[in-house]
Amino acid sequence: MSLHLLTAGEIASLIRDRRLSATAAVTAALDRISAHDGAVNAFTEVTAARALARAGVVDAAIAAGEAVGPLAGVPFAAKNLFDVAGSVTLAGSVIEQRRAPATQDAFAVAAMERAGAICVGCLNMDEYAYGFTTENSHYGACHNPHDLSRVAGGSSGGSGASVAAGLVPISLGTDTNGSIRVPASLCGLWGIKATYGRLSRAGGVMFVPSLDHVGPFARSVGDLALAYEAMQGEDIEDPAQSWRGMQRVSGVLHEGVTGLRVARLGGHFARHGHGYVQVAADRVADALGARAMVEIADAAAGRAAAFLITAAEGANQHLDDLRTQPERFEPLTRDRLLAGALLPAQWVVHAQRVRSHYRTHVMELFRHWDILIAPATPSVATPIGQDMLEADGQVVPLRPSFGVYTQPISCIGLPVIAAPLQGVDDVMPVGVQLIAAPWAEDVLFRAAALLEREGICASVVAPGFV
Amino acid sequence: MITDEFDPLAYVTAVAPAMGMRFAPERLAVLADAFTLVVRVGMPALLHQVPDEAEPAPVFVA
Repeated sequence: MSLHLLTAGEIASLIRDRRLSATAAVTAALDRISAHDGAVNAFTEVTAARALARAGVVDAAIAAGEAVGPLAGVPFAAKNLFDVAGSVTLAGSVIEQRRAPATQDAFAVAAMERAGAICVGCLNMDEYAYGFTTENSHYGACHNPHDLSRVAGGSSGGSGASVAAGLVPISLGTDTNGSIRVPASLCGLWGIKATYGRLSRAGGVMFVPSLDHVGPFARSVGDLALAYEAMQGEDIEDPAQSWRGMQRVSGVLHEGVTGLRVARLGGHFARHGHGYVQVAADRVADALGARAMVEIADAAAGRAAAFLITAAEGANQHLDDLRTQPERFEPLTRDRLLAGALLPAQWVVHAQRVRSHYRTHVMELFRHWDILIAPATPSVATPIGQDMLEADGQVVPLRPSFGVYTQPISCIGLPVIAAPLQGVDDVMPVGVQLIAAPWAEDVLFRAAALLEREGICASVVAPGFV
Repeated sequence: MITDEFDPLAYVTAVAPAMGMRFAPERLAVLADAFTLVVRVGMPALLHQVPDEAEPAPVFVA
C-alpha cells in the first residue's frame, strides 16, 4: 500500500477501521522522510520518538474502542517556528538555538493532535519567516520537489516541499505576506490563510503580529478542510484572535458555487507577472463562472504599506539581537531587518493609515462579490540563487516580487485559499488565489472543491517522488 | 513625503546610533542599499494620500 499517495482522510479512515495502525502510518512517513528528505531538505528535525509514542497512544485508544479524531494517526509536520514540545523552536535562525526545548506544543500543533494527527517533525523556513524562497544559509536551501534546482517558495518552504514530495499529507505554515500562498503556488498544493484572527497563533516565534496568520497545506481540498477545522478553537493566549465559534466546512464541499458572485481581479493583479499566471487565473475564473473583471483600487499602495509595516514590526521583534549580534542573522534577512529598524516612525504610521483606508475600499467590493480571483505568484518556481525576476516587461528584485499578488490581500486580513494548477507552465505548477470577505472561508471551500472535482485544479505528489 | 535631497547613506549613518547600532563604513553602505530597496518598494504607500479620518490602528474586525 503506497500510503504517501493517499489523502489524510483516507489514511485516517483506514486507521479508524483497523485496517492500518497509526504506528504503521507513522513508521511509513518516517521511512519516506529518511529516504527522500535529503533531496528536498524540508525537515530541520524529525521527531521520531515523540511521533511513535503518540501513535501508540492512538492505536491503544482504537483498540479500547475509544473515539479518535478525524485525523486519527495522520502524520503531519510543522514549520519550525511553531513550538513542538521537546524541540528547540528555531524559526530558521541560529540565534534561536539558544532557546531551551519547548515545554508545550503551539496551539495549532496541539489542536492537530487533539484531532488525532501526529507530528513527525519541524520544517525548514526562511529565517524568522522574512522571505519567499527558503534559501536559508543556516539550514540549507529547501528544494522544490517538482524540480530540485528550483526554490520551494517561502517562508513556509519546508511546509510546501514536505507535502509535495509526499513525505506527509498535511503540514502547517504561517502567512504574513504570502508565506503559505507562495509555497503552495510554487509546489502545487492547496493552502489556506484564514481570516486574520480566526486561528490562534499562540506558541512560537511569530514575525509581524499585526499581519501574521497560521494555516495548513494539503494535496486535497478534503484534507485542507479537515486540517482547517482541526486548527480552530478559542485561545486566550493569542490576543489577536477574534473567536467566532467553529466553522465546519467539510459539509459544504459538495455545495458548488451556485448563487455565489465571482469576479476576476484585474488592474494590479493583471500586471507584474508572466502571461501563464494570468492564464491560470482566467481558467479558474471561467470555471467558477466569473461574471466580471474588477479592480481593487490602490492595491499597489496596500502592498507597499504591508511592506513597510512588515519591515518595521519585524525588526522590532528582533531589535536586541540586531544591535548585539547582527552577524548571526541570515544575510538575506539581516539587512532588510536592519533597514526596517531604521524606518522613520511617521512612515510606518502613514503606512498603517494607508492599510486602513485601503481596507475600507476593498470591503466595498464584497457588497457585490463573494469570491475574487487573482494569481498567487508572478511566476512558477525560479532557480535557487536567482536574484532578479523578468516578467511583464520588467526586471525586478525577485525575492520581494513573489509577494506582489499576495501582500495586497493579506495586509487587510482577508481569507484566501491557494488553488494549484498543473500544466499551465511546461513543467511546474502554479497557484491561484480564491479570496473572500472576512469570515467567509466556507465559500472558498465550496469553490475549491468544485475546481478539484472538475479537474481544473489538482495537487499531486511530485513525479520524481511517486 | 520624501524630498529629492534624501540621502539613504547619510540617513542610516545618522540614525543607526539612535537605535543603539554601530556599523563599519562598508556595512553602512550595504545597509543604505537595503534601506533604498525598502523605500523603493514602499514608495506607493508613502505617496498615497489618505483622509484625516483614516485610522492607523490595525483594526481587523469585520
